[in-house]
Amino acid sequence: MSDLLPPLVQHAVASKTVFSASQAFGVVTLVLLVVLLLEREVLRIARAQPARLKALSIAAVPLLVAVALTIWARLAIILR
Amino acid sequence: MRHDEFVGHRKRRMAHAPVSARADSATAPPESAGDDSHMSAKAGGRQGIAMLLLCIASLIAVEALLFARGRVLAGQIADAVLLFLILQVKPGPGRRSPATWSLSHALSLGWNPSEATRDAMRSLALVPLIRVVSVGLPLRDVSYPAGTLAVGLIIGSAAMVLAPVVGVAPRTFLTARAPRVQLQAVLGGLLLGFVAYLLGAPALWPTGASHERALLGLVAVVAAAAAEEIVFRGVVQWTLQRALGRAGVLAAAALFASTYLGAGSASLVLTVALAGLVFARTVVRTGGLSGAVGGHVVFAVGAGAIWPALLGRSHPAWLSGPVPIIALAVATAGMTAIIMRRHDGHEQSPSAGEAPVAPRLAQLPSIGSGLSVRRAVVGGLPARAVFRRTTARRSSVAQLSVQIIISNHNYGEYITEAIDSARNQVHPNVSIVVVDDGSTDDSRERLRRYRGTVDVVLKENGGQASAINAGLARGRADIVMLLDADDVLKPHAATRLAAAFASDPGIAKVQFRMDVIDARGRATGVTKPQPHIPMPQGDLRSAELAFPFDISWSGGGGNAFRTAALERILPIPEDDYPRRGADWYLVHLTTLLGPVVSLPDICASYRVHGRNGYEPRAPQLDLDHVRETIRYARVTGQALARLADELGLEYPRPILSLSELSNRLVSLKLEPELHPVQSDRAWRLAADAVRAAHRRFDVAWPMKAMFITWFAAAAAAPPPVARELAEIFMFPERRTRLNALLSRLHRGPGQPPRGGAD
Repeated sequence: MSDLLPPLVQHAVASKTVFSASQAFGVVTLVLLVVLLLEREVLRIARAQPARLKALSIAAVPLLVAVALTIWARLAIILR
Repeated sequence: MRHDEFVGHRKRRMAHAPVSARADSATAPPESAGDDSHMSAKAGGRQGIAMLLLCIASLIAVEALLFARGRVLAGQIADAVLLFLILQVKPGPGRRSPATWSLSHALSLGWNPSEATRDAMRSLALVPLIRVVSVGLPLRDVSYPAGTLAVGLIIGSAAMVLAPVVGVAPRTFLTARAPRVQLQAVLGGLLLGFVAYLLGAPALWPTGASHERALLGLVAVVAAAAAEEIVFRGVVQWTLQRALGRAGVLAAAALFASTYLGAGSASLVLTVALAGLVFARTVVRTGGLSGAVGGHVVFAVGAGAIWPALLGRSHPAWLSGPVPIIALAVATAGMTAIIMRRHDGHEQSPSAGEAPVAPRLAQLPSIGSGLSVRRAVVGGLPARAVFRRTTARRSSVAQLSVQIIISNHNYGEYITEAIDSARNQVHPNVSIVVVDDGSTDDSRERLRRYRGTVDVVLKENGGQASAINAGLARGRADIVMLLDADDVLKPHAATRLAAAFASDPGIAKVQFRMDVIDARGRATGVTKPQPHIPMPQGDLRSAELAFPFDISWSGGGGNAFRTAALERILPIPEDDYPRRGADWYLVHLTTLLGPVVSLPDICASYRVHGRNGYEPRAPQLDLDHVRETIRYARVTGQALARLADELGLEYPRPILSLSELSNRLVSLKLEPELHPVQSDRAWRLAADAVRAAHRRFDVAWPMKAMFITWFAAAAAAPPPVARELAEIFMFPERRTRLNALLSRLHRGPGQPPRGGAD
């Protein structure tokens, strides 16, 4: 029993194929990641405070991992 | 004023001034020019709290949406939007560009959060991040334990990286003090795990699972428990507690419970909420996560593996009725009341980036009456006296009166800004004394317009010590802040300091960081002490008496003192500090009179304008400055020894510091004819440095070896080489690559040698 991956979430993810899940949940993750990375670049060019940039990076990295794993899973299925 | 006159004057005032009448006319709310910023700071504070509460409520609502309706995609989108909005928290004070200002300003609707509120908002980003990531990961063909482990590692790592950004020191997570309280958390977890088992908590692995699967399940539970505790107790609770006080602890626990809304029955969710409160209380009391993580692991493993293995999987039917819900609701309410109960003296205050004050010190009030000779282990060294408990009472923040003493000598162009910043304090109980120390510029003319609103003292030029003594003689408040006339206070400074002093009547000194501004008041992006340097706090007597001038203290304007502590050591001996350096005396001696608190907040601005009395103009060796530092260190060291003797404290004799010895060696090598200590010899100083390095319990042995090597090299080197070595040693700017290595070799209070109290 953990709130990191509640059964409801796991069930929702498991009930879809990797392709359909990445078209639904994955797109949200990807869009958020792109928005955060774009904002980070804008702030970096605008010389924003380092703490602010760091907070954005910290939020972006887990999303990047999720997107990378999703792409890897899709590629693995296609190549298999 | 002579010293005996000074003491007599103070005693008379103390005898006749009722506690309730300490504030003078200057404590009235700021008027006219000060009104705007005063009101805006207050409004910003209220708006900040409102936004924080709105954010917490939104996060809970999204979790409810996710689990009540089963709309996982809608929940993920809502969490993604919340995460984005949370990350738009308005930047704090310091350098910011018009672009970043307008973006965050537009998104934040103009609210002006405090540092603590900003940190709390940023830490809340972890909650939606959990959901966005867990839903976004491709976990279709992955087992539940493996999926939990993956999410736990990702989120736990993110929380560990975020912690220092929001002002929480990750090293405090491992604190294992107060073992009895930690054990209580583990036992509480065991008991509540049994309750959760009875209420139908899901098993960790199916019946007949392989050993590998069971092992993976256990590893996943431990990782998930650690990650959840780091997120909710380690980061979110600490920052919310800083922003909202005790209510922040409850808010963090509510957030934690809301993420379990999909766990099953209402009674099971209540059990989790109760467990969260128990762990929250443990963290509040111990300042570390060890007990909470242990309790959480025992809770989860007990509910999902141990109890099912021992007792089977059948549960009594009556547990599905309202009885357990009522019982758990009552227990949860009781635990809430315990957490909200008045401070009991054992709690840890959340301090950003600093080690919490040791628990025993939090309950050791007393200052004015000095120290007992009872033996104890304090601050890592054996056989030290502990602060004697007194009958001093806790005060509410608003009750504590703050006296701001502004000393001025020919800073006419800056004095009005300093006074206005003092008048604009949000704190309701502030008095201001301005002492003009024989200025010959237009300072006195500018001071005329403050007559009647602040207490203005005009005196002949007598130096910083005489000015501070004169200011202290004019009033009596609970807390004294010193402000140079060229510096500026932040509006919340007095409130933050009063809050720190109110948390423990034994605290003698509170220090804080200052941001550096230029002559026109523009931020330079520099802070003093620098952000990467942890400021020590707690009982620092051992360190103070072992290597007083190697500790990283904030300068005089970066400190506030409890008046009861100052009374023991005042007046400042004006003969010892004829022009400047009076802050050395106060900063160092008060450390022996009570615990020290270091605030993470920037509470004042330090102005560098080219005419500063004690500020090196460039990272280059200035031997006049070195000799001045040597004189301050010597008289302060003597005063420390006298006070330690009076207090019955044991300490290594003579008091030595590497920074003082390095200054003496440099002065002797480069200009021996002007060196202020005639008896010094280079090799004798190098030998003393070996002893001083040996006493540095705050650094690892490689750093001690580096110190000794430097002294040997500097003692043997010809003057030109010695000058180069001196600049590398004294100016961190000259050894940027080495700094990263040196910072890793630090492990406790104290910093790489610099110029003492500056």
